[in-house]
Amino acid sequence: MEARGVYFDGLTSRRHEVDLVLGDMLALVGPDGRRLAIWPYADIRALASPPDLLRLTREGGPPLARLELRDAGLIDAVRRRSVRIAETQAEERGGARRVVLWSFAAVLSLALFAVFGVPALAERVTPLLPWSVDQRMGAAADAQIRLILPTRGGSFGCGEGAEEAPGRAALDTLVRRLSDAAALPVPIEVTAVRSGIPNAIALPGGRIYLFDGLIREAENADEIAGVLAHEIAHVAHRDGARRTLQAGGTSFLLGFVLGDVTGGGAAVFVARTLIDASYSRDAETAADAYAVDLMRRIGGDPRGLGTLLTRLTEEETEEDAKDETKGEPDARGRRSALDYLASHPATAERRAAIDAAAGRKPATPLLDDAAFAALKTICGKAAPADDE
Amino acid sequence: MDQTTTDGAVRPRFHGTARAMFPLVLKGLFLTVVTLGLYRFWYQTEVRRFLWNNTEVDGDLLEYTGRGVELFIGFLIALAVLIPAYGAIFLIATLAGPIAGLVVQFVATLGIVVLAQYALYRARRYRLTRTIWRGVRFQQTGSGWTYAWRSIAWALLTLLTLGLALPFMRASLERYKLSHTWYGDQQGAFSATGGQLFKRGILLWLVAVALIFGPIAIIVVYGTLDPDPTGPGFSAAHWIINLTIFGVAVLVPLYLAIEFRWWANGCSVGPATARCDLGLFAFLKVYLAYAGIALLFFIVAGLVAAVVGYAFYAAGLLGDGAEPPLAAIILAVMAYFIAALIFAALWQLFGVRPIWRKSFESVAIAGLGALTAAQSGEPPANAFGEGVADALDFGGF
Ligand SMILES: [Zn+2]
Repeated sequence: MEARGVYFDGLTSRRHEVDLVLGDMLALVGPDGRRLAIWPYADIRALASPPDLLRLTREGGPPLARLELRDAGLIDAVRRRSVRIAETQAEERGGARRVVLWSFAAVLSLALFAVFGVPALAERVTPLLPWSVDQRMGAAADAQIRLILPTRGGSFGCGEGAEEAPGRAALDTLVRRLSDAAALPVPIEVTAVRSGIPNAIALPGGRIYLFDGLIREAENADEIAGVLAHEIAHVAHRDGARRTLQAGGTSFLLGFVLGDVTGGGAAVFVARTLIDASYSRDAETAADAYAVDLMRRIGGDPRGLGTLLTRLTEEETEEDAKDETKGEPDARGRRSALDYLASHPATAERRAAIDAAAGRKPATPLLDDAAFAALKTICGKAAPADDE
Repeated sequence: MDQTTTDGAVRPRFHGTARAMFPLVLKGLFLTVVTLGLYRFWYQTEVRRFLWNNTEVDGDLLEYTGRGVELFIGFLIALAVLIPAYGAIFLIATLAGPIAGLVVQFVATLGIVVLAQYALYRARRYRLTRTIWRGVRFQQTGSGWTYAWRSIAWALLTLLTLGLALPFMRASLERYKLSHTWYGDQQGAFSATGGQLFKRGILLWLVAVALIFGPIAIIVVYGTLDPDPTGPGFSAAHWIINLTIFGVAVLVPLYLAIEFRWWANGCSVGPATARCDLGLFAFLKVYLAYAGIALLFFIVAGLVAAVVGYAFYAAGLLGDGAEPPLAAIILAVMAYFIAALIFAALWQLFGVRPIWRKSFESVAIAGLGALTAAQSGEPPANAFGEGVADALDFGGF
């Protein structure tokens, strides 16, 4: 039984047209009748090839020796005799299957680590860091926010000109009382920001932004002081540093493994937002408790924070209804991006907790009427046209 | 079987059809998504196997002997090197002051660019040592670091000359690559010059300069951009910028075709030399066809999404200002992944595959009869370069 194949000996690139002799072993015979190779059937392995071609090699021979067959009858005959022909390819397929299974397991454990392990680690590591790390993170975030936040054409911080200076003085009075009572290892530095967003933000390391939009919503100084106390709590608890560590750790972890798969960045983003959202609830509750305590120590009314929160939430709901009829989801989306004070879903719950902790102790207003009026106009007298 | 021209030159052929490639691409991308990307090394290997195995030169098919597990190990080695490096950079940048931090960041960026070039060279070595024709392996010698510094120096010069040095950069780098390329014991060579590419490309360069600097000149002469989105100045500037982007998108495939033809014409291995007659519009046609198919898919997918979204809305799951339920978010994320997967599959089928085919079939190789190579004694390279390229988010086939 003889038929044709093409043989490469794996030593040179010379092409040999060979006849196959299917005896006890497979003999490859050149045109001059010389035996070029003899392959025991048990050593023959098939390699990856297009469907109309069978590409064979000999286990234990030169690794690149090749026998290529195209004749269907011949392919059949060799396949029938070579009992271990599929071993190499089967091994490879088994390897790939194990990869798929184990990567499922790895993905699962990685996800669990990202969701539970990284926050726990951030929790343990944050207290060990020196406060200067918080300050540096805060400085970096500060630069970014100043870059992206629109400030109605004026300077970023309010209270610089002659018209606004009295407001600055009133704010300084409030901040001094709060920060003296808090006695943190870093200085508290409050900036009134020329932006209509009704919010306040604490950066790691002591910087606090109080937005004009929030100041205009307040009806007395204790409400503003309550918000500041809440933000000081975030600084004291180092929530910002923890959040930064956590987000950095998660994206570092997932980003590396995801590599260049399409949409990898999106997955990281989704993971980060989900983790951030679940994390901030505990932190907000703790910050509210701290704020109540701080307000009581300086003799202010701790319930102001809850009152202001409720007012903001009610207004936002009204505005949402308005937006819906006008079909403008954009303003809302942009607002909630920064707004983690007012957009909290359980405002009523928070207010109840604040009121319960505040008790019935009588309070004296923290600022007199004149000082509060000055504070209200720290970013100028004109009411802002609709912000953003 | 082969198209043999009158002077005995042989044209390679590519037999891989989109229909044959489709199941491979679909399965590979699906498993890649399911394993959060870990399957990509095996998928990439399957794609390469398909491309190599269907490429016929003088009656014999190429063979790709690389394996997924090799790429995976290369990736792990790259991680072992890069993670501590990244960690150190991050730590130094946070602990150092703001100015020192900037310096660290600059040095780190430069380091990554150099490493990327090094990795590209090493990755090429991996692919060549896994490429077999007639039982003989290709090989690459030379140093990845030499190549990396050379390419950085040229890249800086190219930047400074607004791209005019690009042809000479390409010639220098390709000369380095080809003269360090071996088929068994037969050495490669590169005879094309930067001057030739310069002459063929200068017209495109002039058009590109006009496209990019024309609008800037117009804006400078006729005043600044009108910030009012409804003003006439804004929409005019808007249109000019759109036109520029479109123009550049057309110029890139034209340049790539010119460059490939110039490159292939300069390549030789031992006594075998290549000649290339790739048309100027060959790659542009591929990109346009892909864009058309992708657009069609985009329209269909958009319609489906709109119907599904409306169904959700009608069922009261979305809308009325409430936060969307978790199920809807998961569904949206999944839809995003599936759409991205299909675009990637379309790109493999109607982008990568036809470019591969046109590149090979535009070449005629003369002197193959005299090319007999002995197996090289050099061992095959590991996949460290491929791993780094993967971890740094770039890479080729
Ligand atoms: Zn808070």
